[in-house]
Amino acid sequence: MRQQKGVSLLVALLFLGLVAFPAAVRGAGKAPPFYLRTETGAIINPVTGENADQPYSPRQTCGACHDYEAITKGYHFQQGWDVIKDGYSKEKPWVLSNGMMGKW
Amino acid sequence: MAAKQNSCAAAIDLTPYDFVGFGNPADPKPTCGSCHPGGGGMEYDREGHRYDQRLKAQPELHTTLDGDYFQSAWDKSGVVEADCLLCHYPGYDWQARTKQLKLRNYKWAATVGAGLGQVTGAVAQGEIPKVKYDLRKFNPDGTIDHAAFITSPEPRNCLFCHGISDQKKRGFSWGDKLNPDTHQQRGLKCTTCHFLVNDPTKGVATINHQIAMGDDLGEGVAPELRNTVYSCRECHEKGIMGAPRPKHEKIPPSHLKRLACEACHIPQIGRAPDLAADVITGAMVDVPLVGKKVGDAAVWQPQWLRHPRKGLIQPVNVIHAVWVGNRDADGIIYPLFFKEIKPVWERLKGKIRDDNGDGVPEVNTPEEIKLLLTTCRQVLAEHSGRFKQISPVYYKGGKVWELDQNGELKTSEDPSLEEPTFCINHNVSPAGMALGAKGCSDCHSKQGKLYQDIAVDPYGPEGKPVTVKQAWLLGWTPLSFSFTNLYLTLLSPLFALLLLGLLLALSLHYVVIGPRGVCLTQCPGELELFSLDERVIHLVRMLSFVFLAVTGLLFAFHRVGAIEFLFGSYETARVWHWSMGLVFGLSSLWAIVRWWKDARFAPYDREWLRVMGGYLSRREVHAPAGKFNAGQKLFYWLTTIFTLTIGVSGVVMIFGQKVTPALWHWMVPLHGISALILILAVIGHAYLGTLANPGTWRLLVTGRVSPEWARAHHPVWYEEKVKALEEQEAAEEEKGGEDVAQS
Repeated sequence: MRQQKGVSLLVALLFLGLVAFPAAVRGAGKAPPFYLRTETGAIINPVTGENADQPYSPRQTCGACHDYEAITKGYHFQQGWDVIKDGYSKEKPWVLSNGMMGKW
Repeated sequence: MAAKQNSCAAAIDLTPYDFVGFGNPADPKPTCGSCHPGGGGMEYDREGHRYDQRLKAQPELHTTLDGDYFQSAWDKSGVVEADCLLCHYPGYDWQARTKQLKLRNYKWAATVGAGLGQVTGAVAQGEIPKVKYDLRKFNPDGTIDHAAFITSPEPRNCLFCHGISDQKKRGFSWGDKLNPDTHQQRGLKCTTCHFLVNDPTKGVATINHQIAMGDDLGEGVAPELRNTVYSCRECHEKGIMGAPRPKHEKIPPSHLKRLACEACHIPQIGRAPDLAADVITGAMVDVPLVGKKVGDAAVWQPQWLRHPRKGLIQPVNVIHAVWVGNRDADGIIYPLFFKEIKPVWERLKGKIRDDNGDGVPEVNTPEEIKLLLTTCRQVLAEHSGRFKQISPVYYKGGKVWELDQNGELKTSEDPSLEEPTFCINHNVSPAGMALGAKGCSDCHSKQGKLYQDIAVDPYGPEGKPVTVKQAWLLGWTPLSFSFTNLYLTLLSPLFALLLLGLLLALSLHYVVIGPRGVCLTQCPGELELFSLDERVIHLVRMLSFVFLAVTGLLFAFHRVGAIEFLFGSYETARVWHWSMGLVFGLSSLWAIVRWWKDARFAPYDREWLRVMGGYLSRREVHAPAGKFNAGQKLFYWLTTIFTLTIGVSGVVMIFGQKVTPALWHWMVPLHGISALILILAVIGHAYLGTLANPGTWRLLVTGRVSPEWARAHHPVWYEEKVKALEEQEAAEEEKGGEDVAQS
């Protein structure tokens, strides 16, 4: 009888583990809940009404944990703006960079 | 994009402010800023200042000719910071973001795009927008959960921008059922191949968000990122992600060196791209390559072009730019701004015909081009202050049209003005649907890929595209194209039949007619027909030819597996083939020189030819013959001619990558046809030299024949030989007699 209870307990624990493990893995590495922030860095809390009519700022919100400056050095963000200058091309003076911002 | 410093307002075209949000909010078409995630030039000016903060500090800037601030309202609209959720939130509403940008609500766009709330008011209307957040998106404490956001963007998010722009360039639409891609159907996402690149030169890790890029043919964007994406070869040769290793069993290995994988594996696309981008009306008009409008469900085949850097044939779409410019005093042609073209088009209304019936008039006849340029000259003289010289030009079909000093039309080509050309790399088909799966005629026939019409000018004099055949663009001429087709689609497949037919004919001959005369080995060889050097020539030539024939047939019939089994690789087999070809060529030259006197035709050869050497008679028929009979002489001249053609074409093929396409296209079929003729001729020669004339093989070893055999088969030579021997004996006897008398 005692042996049967032990097996039942083991099975129950195993079942619990199987259910809980994927959920634990899914949660691993995820950031905790966060507040939206305005462009000045102030918290936006629509529940309490704090700055609730202001747009959120990705720089202040995402950039609180992620390296916004490093991320935005990528081509998708610069699109040639990091090399843009008047006189970029002598043959085609209207071309100012090698990206969509400045290229004709 | 407007320059930073400008001499006059007329010189300012698109400012960064208008780049972000110029356009009618009611029109769903995206603005330039729609396809820019923010940050960079949408956040900072060219001196590194935030636009909004600087304009607040220096409000007079918007009245200056500073290209970053000219007529802008950054201080009210705010800037567009990098909108992370544009890529990392699968439920992002890109259309709502576009509308906010057009309302000039720049800093509010990210909030609306992510669906976090709604915005009322528009900066464009002079209002201060207000946000009303959707409380359902927030936790009870006012925080947000990460659960909705993803690390690796979904294709849907990439396609917000790449779907629209690539549709025009390539007809591409990832995930479109009418336009399938075998990779997409197997669950690959954009980010599978376009991963984040670690750029060691900048000392930053993948956080820098440099996204791996494919290739482009021309000046393209972001050259530092070219070819950072996974290539076909990389995955399919290394087995990355379980990619199957290609067998290419029916494909000539030489094709794998000359064609990009995409050339065969993207045989067609199911969505219409641009044929031309025409700005003559002062707005961008996309002229579809097929169908009635760009994006229509319509099947088309990409153009093939030789990649200028890689040399491989690559599928592309060339968008023919149609525009007006002005050749200024520095000789450079400056494209006109839309705002400069619009008044020209206003004056031309009703004077330019819509020849092709697409609803948009096109400037295509000499009269219309002349009218356009004359009107353009008038308008520029009245309105534009940015040019030192007014000399308008019209660009269409890769040609520059302008008026000479007498006001007459003249055309020229300016190599610096390239037609925008876009590589096609998506919508990949599996092997069974690729070009070549049904044989050479998929391309090498008048119904095939190479005979496809390619537009080189969007509007000819009748308003229809001017086309040339794909093959001509790759260097073929009509004659060399037909010659190649004849070889690949007729002679090559027929070779097996010809070979079987020859073997059958020889078997029939052996059974019905049978071998001739006595076996040569039964008689003692007293006369030398072939000297040692002749036997060596023959042996070297024979062995090298057998090697070349076997390897050549493996190449011709694409037996890649057998080639790799025997030689390890195609390249090694190729080197062996041409090395042995040199041996064959040199020994053949030796043979040609050594035997050419014996191979000259004599009057008595007519008799041999008349009775066909007796080979068609069951009776013993002998005809006059010298050292070589007429049949052997014919064989000599046949092999001489085709040895020379196969040798010349073979040498050209050794330097295949360096010769012109036109020369290459002649040499390949010439080499193949020469080889096929030689193989058939040598098989016939071998039969006659062995089975049909028993014991003749002894000639290869000893070079000697019996007097009886020589009298029967080469009577003229025999008589000459006997006579020569008798004269020699007489001379020796005479010399012997003199010696005796003297002693």
